[in-house]
Amino acid sequence: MLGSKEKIVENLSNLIFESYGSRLTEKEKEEIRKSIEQTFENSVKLHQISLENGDEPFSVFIPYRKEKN
Amino acid sequence: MSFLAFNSIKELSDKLGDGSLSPVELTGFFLERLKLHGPKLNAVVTIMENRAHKQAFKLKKELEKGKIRSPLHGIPYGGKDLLAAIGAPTSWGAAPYKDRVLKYDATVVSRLERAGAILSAKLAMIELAGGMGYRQPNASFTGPCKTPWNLNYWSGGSSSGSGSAVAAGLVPFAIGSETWGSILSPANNCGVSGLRPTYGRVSRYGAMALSWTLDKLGPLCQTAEDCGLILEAISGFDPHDPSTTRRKYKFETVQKDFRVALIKGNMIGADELSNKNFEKSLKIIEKFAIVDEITFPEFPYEAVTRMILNAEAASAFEDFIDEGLSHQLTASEDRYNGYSRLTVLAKDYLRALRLRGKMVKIAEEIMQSYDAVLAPTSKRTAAPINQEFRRNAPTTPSIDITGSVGNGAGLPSISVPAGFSEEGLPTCIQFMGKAYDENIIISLAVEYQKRTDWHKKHPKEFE
Repeated sequence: MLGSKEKIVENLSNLIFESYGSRLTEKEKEEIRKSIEQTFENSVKLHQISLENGDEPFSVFIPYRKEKN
Repeated sequence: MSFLAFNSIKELSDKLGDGSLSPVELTGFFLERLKLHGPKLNAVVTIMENRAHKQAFKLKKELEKGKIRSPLHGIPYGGKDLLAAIGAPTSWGAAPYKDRVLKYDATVVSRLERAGAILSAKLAMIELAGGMGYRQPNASFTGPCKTPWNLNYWSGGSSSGSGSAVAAGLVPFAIGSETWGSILSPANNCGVSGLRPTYGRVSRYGAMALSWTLDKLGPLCQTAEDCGLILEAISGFDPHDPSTTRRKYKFETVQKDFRVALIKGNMIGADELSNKNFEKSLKIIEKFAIVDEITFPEFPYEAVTRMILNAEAASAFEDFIDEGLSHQLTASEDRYNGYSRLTVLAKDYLRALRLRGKMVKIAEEIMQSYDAVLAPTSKRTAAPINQEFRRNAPTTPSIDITGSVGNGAGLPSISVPAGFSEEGLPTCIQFMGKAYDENIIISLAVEYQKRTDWHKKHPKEFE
């Protein structure tokens, strides 16, 4: 994964604090930062498995037609 | 009449069928128990007396004319308070919604009504089904729900009231929901039989969405067999829920030479007594099934399911968070946890969905020679009511394979009681099956319950 963990976590945290910071205490901001760090670590784990271009998301889009009664 | 409290659906159905009991009497009996014991357990949000009485009288008249809708004709039940139902608020366990009324019935509610079951109460749940990442039992506007086995301990969640009310004999069965652990956790902590069906088996129309590709609805009951009866009534295609399968489900037990897989190292981090009880269960299971040890290959199972859950929960509750409603929630951590999930990147969510394709194939391949994976439902008994349950979690790091693979791959699992701790708290085992193999895992659980009486033990205070 490209980019340092600290920088990415800081940037993502700032994204939240920019929008919602006025509602949050310093302690809550610190908890949010920790939680974003955990998500980053999960993302790193996901990137340890290689995928082929044809490995599609395992959820299927189905074009819709209303069922006739 | 107190002997009725812990009767199975089959036993109650026989009494209703031979006329020794009427739906009106039975409903009145359980409504009284809900009123008397519900508050002690923090298990009930709303008792639906009017709706239940009206339905009971109608079903009584039908019975008198010889009409029996199904084995559930005249059987009262409770629904987790994330199910929309006419006649009561639908709170999702969350203070901002405690008076919110949805004027329609969830598909599960209407299907149960069609089968003759009587909705008698909306049951307590963790706020937003745990969608904000709660870490403590006190995460519902109705207070921390208790296991009837010891009122100082937690019922589990998020289908807290569904587990507690069935275990205390306040309703013969209840409907819960599971995204990751929310049926099996209360089944474990309350010592009842709980079934998480295959993803898409049961319509979620009218149920709160936490994670569209992980959410399932299922029953909590006195016995494994009862779980099959309820699943038959609530399963099936629903045009309102595009995830529902067109495969038909009919409950029937299966007789065969069972093969069960035990995940190597699955008791790492378990407490001594849970371990001991699991070993005893294993010896019983070996009397009717071949048990082999298997290993799941290294794979980020938990990271895949966690990423999907976090991304979908962020979207499901984005407006709720934007409006600042999370700050009205009960658990302090639920007031801010949701914000971090708004930063999950689309590329990570999609990567998790792509890896899910690999995960389902790993599970299918490993399980292909087996009828089920056997595991403890939880490695620990219920946590104390007044502390963060993470403190009660295994101290040795271990992967929750049955939770992450089971929910991530949408596999069914049934949990049944398998013993008690020194504090009198239940320990349970689960049989996790391949997709759509509910009848196989229920049959395994039925075989286990034929040879044990853990499911026939009930908390003294509520007998």
